[in-house]
Amino acid sequence: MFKRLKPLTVLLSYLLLGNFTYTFADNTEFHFPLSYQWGRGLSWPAANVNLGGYFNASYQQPEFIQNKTALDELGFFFTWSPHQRIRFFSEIDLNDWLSTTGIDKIEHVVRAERLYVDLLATESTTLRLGKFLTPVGRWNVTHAAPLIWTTTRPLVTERRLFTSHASGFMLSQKVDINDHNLDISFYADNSEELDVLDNQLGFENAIGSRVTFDITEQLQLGASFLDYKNRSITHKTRNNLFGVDLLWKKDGYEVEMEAIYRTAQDNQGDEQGLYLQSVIPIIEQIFVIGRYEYVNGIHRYIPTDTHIGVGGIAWRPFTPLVIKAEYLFGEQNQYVAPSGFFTSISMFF
Amino acid sequence: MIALFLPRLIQVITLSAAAVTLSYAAADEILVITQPNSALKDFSTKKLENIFLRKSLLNDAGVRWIPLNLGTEHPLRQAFSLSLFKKRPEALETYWNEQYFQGIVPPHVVASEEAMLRFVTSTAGAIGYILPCHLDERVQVIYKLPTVEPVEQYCKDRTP
Repeated sequence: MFKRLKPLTVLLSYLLLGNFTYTFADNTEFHFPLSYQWGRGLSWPAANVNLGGYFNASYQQPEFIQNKTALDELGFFFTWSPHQRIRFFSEIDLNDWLSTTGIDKIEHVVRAERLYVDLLATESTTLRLGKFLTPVGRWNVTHAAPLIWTTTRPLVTERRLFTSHASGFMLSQKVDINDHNLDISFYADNSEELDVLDNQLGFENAIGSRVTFDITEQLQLGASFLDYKNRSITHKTRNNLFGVDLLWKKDGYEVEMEAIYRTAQDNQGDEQGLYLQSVIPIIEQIFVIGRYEYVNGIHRYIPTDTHIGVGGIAWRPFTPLVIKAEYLFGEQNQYVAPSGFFTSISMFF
Repeated sequence: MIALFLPRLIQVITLSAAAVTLSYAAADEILVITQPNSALKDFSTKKLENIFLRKSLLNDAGVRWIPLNLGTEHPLRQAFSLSLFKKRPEALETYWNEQYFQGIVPPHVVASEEAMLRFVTSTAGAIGYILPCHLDERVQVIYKLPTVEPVEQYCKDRTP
């Protein structure tokens, strides 16, 4: 048995000692050792491997619902580029594993949030195969808690409106238009056949596209289209979803907006909504956040005409770490997003 | 008398102006370098920005870009970042946070310009930057990045 383990031990020792070098033409060696950086993960440059992840823990005190303290998310990233044209990426998450309402079994909470391989066809064309985040708007594709400003998620980006990930392929093209980046993506989903380690609310199938354009260094516009059918009870017939979004950033200030319109041919009917969020730096990595949301139509089979306001504060003492606190309030929001106090701490590791 | 000295005066002024201009041009740019004989074309500031932000992962020849940086405290790194991104390296940390979530990590960091020269010399796809005064025959200059502030004073800081 030990003989069998020996090659593995040697490999692990080699990994842990970080003896990876590039050899120069003059036969001297340049060391890029195995290294860890907080918020950037464990990096093994010579093999193009990176391991990392993030966590989010929250305390939620919504009105008329039990308070909860929970480890909402614990996610692990693995990136490997075995060839210059191939890049593998996975994110395996444990969602809602530990909370004051109970400890769930691992097999119930583990999910493959993302599991794909990128094939770099050319300098500007990429084919993605596998499971990836559905590219509708900005929030869904950057939804990791350490990246976003609030503990609560806007209704128009919710998983129950459209599934947060798709399984299939995505073709992406980058175009440089007078030194402005234009990104165009087309994707097709067949989650019913291809999805792994998930999920009751996935697509049955879908097709979609997304375009983003950098108007200036500070301003990015995006547009999304999604035609989908869900496996779940809600949105059983085909739905069409159209979205536009905007992000402006400068000197720590941010304005972000997403608007969607969803239509279906059954009693789900139509739904439209938006959120508009602003971020203002105050002092030393402390930011004030304000968000307005509006949703009108049939949301999760509930007729809504909901206005929501969120006022919060976020403190980023270090780049990978953020601590947030906010109060959510609104009109006709008790069923879809109850008012209350929400706070969380999240960190990349 | 005036006719005698005027041509000489004009010559002196012209030569002085040329010397000042050359000195300014040499000092106020950072050289972007690759391996010798790299068949790269149509290089632009935007392309360079996309490489160092790791939005562009392959070069024209289909070889993986390996962008290199100096440490964030290095004055040449500061000048490079300000000239290319109009931001200090620290201001890009939020961007790298977002990229980390997408499985993209920032460029490798080397300790000195000499280390950058040596790595670029020996590695296909590697791309780095040095001061004009540190250029030698081991590398190819593929782009001259104009700087927003003088960098000539850092020529003495070369660490072997």
